[in-house]
Amino acid sequence: MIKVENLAYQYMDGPYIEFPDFAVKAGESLLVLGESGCGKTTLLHLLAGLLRPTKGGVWIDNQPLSTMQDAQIDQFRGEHIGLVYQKNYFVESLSILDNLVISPYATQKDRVQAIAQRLGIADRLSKAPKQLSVGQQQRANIARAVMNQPKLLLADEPTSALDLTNCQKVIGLLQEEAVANNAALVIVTHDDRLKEVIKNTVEIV
Amino acid sequence: MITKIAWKNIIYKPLNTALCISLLTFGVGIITLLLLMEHQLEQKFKRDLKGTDLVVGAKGSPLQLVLSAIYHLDAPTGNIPLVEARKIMNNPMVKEAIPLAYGDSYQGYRILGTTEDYINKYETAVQKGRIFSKNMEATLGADVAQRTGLKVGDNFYGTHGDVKEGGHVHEEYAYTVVGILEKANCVLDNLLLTNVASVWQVHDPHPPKASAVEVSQVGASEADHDHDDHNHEGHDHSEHETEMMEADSMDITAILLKYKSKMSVLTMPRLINDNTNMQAVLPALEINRLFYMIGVGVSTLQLIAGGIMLMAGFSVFFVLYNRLKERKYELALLRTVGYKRGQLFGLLIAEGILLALIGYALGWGLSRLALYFINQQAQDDFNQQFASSLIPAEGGLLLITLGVGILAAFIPAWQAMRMNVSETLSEK
Repeated sequence: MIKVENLAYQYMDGPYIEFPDFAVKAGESLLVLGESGCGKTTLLHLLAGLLRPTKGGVWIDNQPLSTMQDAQIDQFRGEHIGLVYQKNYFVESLSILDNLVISPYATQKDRVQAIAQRLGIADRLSKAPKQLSVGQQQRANIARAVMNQPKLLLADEPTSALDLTNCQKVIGLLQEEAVANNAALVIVTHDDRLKEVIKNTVEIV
Repeated sequence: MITKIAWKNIIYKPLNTALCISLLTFGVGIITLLLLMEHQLEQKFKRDLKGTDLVVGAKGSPLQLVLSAIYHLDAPTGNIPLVEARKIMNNPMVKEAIPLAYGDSYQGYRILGTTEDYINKYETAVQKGRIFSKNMEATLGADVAQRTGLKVGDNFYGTHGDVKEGGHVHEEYAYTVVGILEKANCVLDNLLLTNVASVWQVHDPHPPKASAVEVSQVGASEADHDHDDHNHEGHDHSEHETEMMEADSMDITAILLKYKSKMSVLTMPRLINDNTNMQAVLPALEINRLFYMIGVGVSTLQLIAGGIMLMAGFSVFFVLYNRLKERKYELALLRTVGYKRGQLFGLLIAEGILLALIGYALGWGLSRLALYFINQQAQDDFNQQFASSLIPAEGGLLLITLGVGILAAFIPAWQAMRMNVSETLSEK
């Protein structure tokens, strides 16, 4: 589903980072491990098309991101990539329900109830983002990421702030959703606890 | 969804929004009100002026003469002897001369002694009844009839002067309403019209017998009598004789003149002003002068309103710009879920437009509300009303207001569009 080859990124007046090659199939998971500041978030943004690689390329569903125009990448990302962030971002002025279907490509709005149910936030849909607990906010974030049945689910340090129990819960949820949506799951993290759950790993040095 | 986000964001910070909108509301409200009143005053003043080249009356303030003789908004400058007035009215250069005699009122509406020509000048027809023909018959303007409730066949007494209550009532003679005019949207609507002789009759200390003052046509018809080159319009000769009898000793208040050529409009006033005890005034000139004077006040108010609009524009800008800092993560989020740069630009512009539209709508309402109160006052003071109908300039103001909204949102929108999503999301 996703394939990375010879990927490298040169920061303006900053470090040059090279990434190992990897590929993840639909329904499978990959853990990208590395210390803080080694370029994990950079890799995630390259995978999501938010950054343009200096060298090499990213293929999602056999389509190369590097040949797409900016607006095409925006659309592709909206349609096929779900992002779960380290922090929980919402459009503050909208309800959770509206935040879940915020994407202009969220066409299957009937999926909201089922997904919210699965993630245990069905009774929170009419609330404002601020009224949710941090745990609920994170689950709402995951719900939004899978709303469009993405081919690729990307998660940035989803567990770094959580205790062991919640950490396992969140990873469980992400894996369940990836399988349920037949998406490839890529998690970038420095959280070694996850190695026990996801065996398939690459490391950025 | 973009519109929904824009709308929700506007109501998410109600205080910020209230600031922007109230400034816009006041700016738009004041400008709309000024536009409405200026437009209508100008139209009204032009309409009432119709067909009058020159006003002749007693010496005094020329503006007062115009305001009193054409618009019936001021007291007359005095009286002029009919003998003198005739000389001017019979001048061969005069196309039409309408004598005016006034001084009395009914419930604050002026009773005007004149001829049928005065009604014809405004191209108005009779709605009910007929036009006055005998002494002490009156034909009412549409608004007078509506507000006083006088109907055809009713009697009323004139009150001396232009007062509403407490003046001296001429109880010796009662006017009879013989007709009501159609609404003319001009000064005619606020007048009670009768013949000149009736006004004389009411004020005559020794009233002659009614048959002796059977005068219906003063002025133009007299000219017909003296000059063969004028068409005789079929007036009764006995009428003219009684009229002649009256003429020598009587006064009228003013004459409205229409000339055959524009040249004489320019030469006549000098002739009259230099050689007689009367003054001749070009009303169009006086009204332009009046508008010039009012215009100074109006442009001051326009400047103030413009200033408010400018501040409204800045407040929209500041509010959107400040919110941009708080919102940068959600804007980045919007990009990651598939919104394009242009759509983010559109989102901010939409917010500017929404604020402008709400401000305009409220300002429009405010202007109508203010007009309602002004009308109450104006009705009491001048028997005048401003219509609240739409005028073309309001469309222009709407475009300007939208322009202010768009312009104010432009820089924030540009920044939202240029935002580096990756950098924003990497901020720890």
